[in-house]
Amino acid sequence: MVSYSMKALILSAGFLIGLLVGLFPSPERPRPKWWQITVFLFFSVMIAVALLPPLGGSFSDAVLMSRVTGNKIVPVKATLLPETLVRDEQAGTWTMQMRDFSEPNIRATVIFPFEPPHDAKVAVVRMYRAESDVMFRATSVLSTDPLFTLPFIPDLNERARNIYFHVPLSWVAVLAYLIAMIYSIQYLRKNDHAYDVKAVSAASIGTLFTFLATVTGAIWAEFNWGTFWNWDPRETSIFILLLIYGAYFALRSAVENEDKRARLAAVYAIFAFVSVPFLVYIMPRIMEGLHPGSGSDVNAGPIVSAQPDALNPIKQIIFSLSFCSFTMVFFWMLSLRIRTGLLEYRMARQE
Amino acid sequence: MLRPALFAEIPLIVRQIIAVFHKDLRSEIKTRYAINAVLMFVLTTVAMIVFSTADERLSNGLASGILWIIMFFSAMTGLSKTFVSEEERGTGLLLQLSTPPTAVYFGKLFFNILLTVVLYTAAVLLFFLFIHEITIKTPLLFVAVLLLGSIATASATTIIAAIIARANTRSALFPVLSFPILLPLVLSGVEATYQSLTGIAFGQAQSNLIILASYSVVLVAVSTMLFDFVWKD
Repeated sequence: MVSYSMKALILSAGFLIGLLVGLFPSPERPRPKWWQITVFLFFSVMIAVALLPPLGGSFSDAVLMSRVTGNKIVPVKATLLPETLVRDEQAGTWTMQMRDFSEPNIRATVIFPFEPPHDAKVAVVRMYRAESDVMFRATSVLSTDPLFTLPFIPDLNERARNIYFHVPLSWVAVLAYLIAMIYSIQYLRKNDHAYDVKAVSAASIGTLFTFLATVTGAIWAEFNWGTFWNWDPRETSIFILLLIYGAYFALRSAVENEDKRARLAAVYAIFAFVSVPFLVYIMPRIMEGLHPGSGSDVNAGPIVSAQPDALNPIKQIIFSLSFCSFTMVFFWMLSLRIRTGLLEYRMARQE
Repeated sequence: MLRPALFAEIPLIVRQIIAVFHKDLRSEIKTRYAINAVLMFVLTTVAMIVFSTADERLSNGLASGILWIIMFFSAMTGLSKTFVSEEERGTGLLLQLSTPPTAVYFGKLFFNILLTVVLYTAAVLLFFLFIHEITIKTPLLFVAVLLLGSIATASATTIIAAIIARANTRSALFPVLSFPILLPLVLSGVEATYQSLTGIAFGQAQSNLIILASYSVVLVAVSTMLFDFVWKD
């Protein structure tokens, strides 16, 4: 367990490193080779640690899940106690005591229909509650002596991995719009066409990220809440963000004169941004909704919650890493898009 | 209008705002450029809803939603006219030369507020003329929603109207650009209307009215800063 301030530190480090490294040397300059390799490494490590490690729950998770209908099998991370291994010849099973990894004073008996691993210290075993709360039946061994495991969240199960993609994608969707708005303000102040190219680049990559956040969210909603779309406040806010991006490009395509197009689009980008902080950061926390951290919810959501189950250090570090990597990848795409945009603009001027 | 002696004491900018408002009002009364078409549009929409609901009893929630659909689309057909007509008649340049942008913006904003109040009132009267089973239980709240909703709609759409007057596909673009900005207003508006239909006391339903009012203030403030860039060539 980590303290709340530790969690805040880990997360803000992710945000800050992502922004600082992402903005280096500047959004429109080419990236040095070492920068590209670093970002590539960050991103691949993040994908690997979000997808590959097994989930590791506790015996109490398995007990809790046995009361819920549906999938009762829980991957439990526990220490093996090989000296307690007993072979039941009649039933053809093995029984062994195991000590819970996160709560070491809890011991339980696990019935294995196959020979349990004995050369390992810790194992993640998929099991379900048998006759009593200290008696479990194993179905398979997921992993022995894992380097680390991701926390098991009841109801989410393996789907919890999506949090490392869906949440950073949504964050970048808003960040991209913020950057497009800042470039729009710069355009109006300095009347330099390069800022218009930068604003439209940020907006077009922002559209992609908004779309991906919507799709990952919709797929997650289908398997957790039963429908692809529920008009939860956060779904409404990302929908409005998509509409704003759509309207921005519709406006751009409707004006032929270059200066006029840049000016009108910049004004619209700034004007439409007025509602975004309210819709994204305030409304979903006040109104009732399905996302964690909404008005009807007891906890404040995975990012700012101080509850012990939201303070898993592994989860925080991967979360922070994924925020950081997605931000850096966004800035990489942005710099490429800005540079091609500026080249196209200069070529069009020369013709 | 005001007596000349009194008129001279008012600051110049206010006089200019009044002049722009007065010009738009007189031109509207003379040509009925917006109001006739839009009132017919409201009538058509209400008739369409009466026919399509047939003998169904509308619930309060459904009625407040339908009312806002009529109001939203009537605003979308009517409110772009103030700027589009300047562009079509070619009078925009004259107005630019004679009046500062702030005066143009506020003159048009007040004209749009008046137009929206008229449109919304017409929509509501026709709606309740044809659909009897709905009654307003908190009239004060309903009037407040109508008034604040008009102000909010006009403050969100006036600058958008100025933007689309400069673009090519005007009529289609106006609702597309306005909707994301109007949606927070429509959400609170529908909820407050529903509260007035179900009879929640005025004091308990203030939060939505506060949202409508404060959002309008923010939109007008941002519009004032941005209007110069849209208006000047």
